[in-house]
Amino acid sequence: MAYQQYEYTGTLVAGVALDVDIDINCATNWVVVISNTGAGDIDALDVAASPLGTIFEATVAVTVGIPLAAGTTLEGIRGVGEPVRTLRLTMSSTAGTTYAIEGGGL
Amino acid sequence: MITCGTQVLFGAPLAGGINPMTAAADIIVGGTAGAMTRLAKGSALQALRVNAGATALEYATLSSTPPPTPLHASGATTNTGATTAIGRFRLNPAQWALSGLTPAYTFGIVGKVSAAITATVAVFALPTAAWDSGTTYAAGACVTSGGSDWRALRAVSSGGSAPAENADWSTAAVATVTFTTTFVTFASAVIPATGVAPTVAMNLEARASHNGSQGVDITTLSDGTCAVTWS
Repeated sequence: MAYQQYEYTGTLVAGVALDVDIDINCATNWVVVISNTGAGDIDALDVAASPLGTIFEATVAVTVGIPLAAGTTLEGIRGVGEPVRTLRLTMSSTAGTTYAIEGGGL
Repeated sequence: MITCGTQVLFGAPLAGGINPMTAAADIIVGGTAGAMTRLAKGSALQALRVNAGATALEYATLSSTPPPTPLHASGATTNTGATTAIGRFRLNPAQWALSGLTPAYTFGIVGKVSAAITATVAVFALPTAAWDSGTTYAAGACVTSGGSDWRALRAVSSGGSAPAENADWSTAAVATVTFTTTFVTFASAVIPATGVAPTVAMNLEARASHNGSQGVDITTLSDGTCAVTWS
């Protein structure tokens, strides 16, 4: 299996939760790093995984490092022995901000 | 397992949990329900042991030393009824201080007793100071008061009355052995015969006497006679 790589950037509208689906592509061991590139905090981050990209398990709220302050990067979300198809990140920002996500796995 | 930092988001932690060790020489011990728990290294020369409640592991200082050297090596006596000092010992409970163990001291006497007589060796504690009402005494402490030597049978708080034959003090021997009509006898006795085990160092003197007219040789063993047994 080739090394899986994914990059995402986007905008969080103030007060509006946004689902961002990360293509893990069944990499068994992977890491996803989220960076707050805007001016407002990322106030909430929920995570859910799906084996095939259609049915997602119940979300779990990330508490470590949240709220993620402007200009900072969250400690990586790591999957070990977790060959999922899709990792869904649901983010929201009260003030609105922009984000960048980078991930890789094998 | 999916994690974010120390937070486990999905899946069971590997091997029962995330590595809790954070410093060099840490070890992992099982906590409640076997949860991985960090145990930091102890202080210099400490050893790992089970705690007093037998509920967990801990580092603690252990100490043990060889038996003490007698203050006075062997002595012999030949007498007809008088009490003669034949040897001295020093016992130091602190040298055998192992948590959870209570030391019981034995001492040895080699006696050569002629037929038809009985010899007795009594071990007395030697006083270290005059009795002081303002001092708290540990079990085994020995003081002088009123012209006599008194041994604390148990811990005695300060502010009490002068020593007298009671539950706190006694002039009696720490231990006594008796030789009967045997050519060579080794005898031992537990110290103390009365009172609780001493918690302070004791200077002891063995004194021999017999009831016959013949010469008697009684000798304390000279090779470090104080054997310590644990109970």
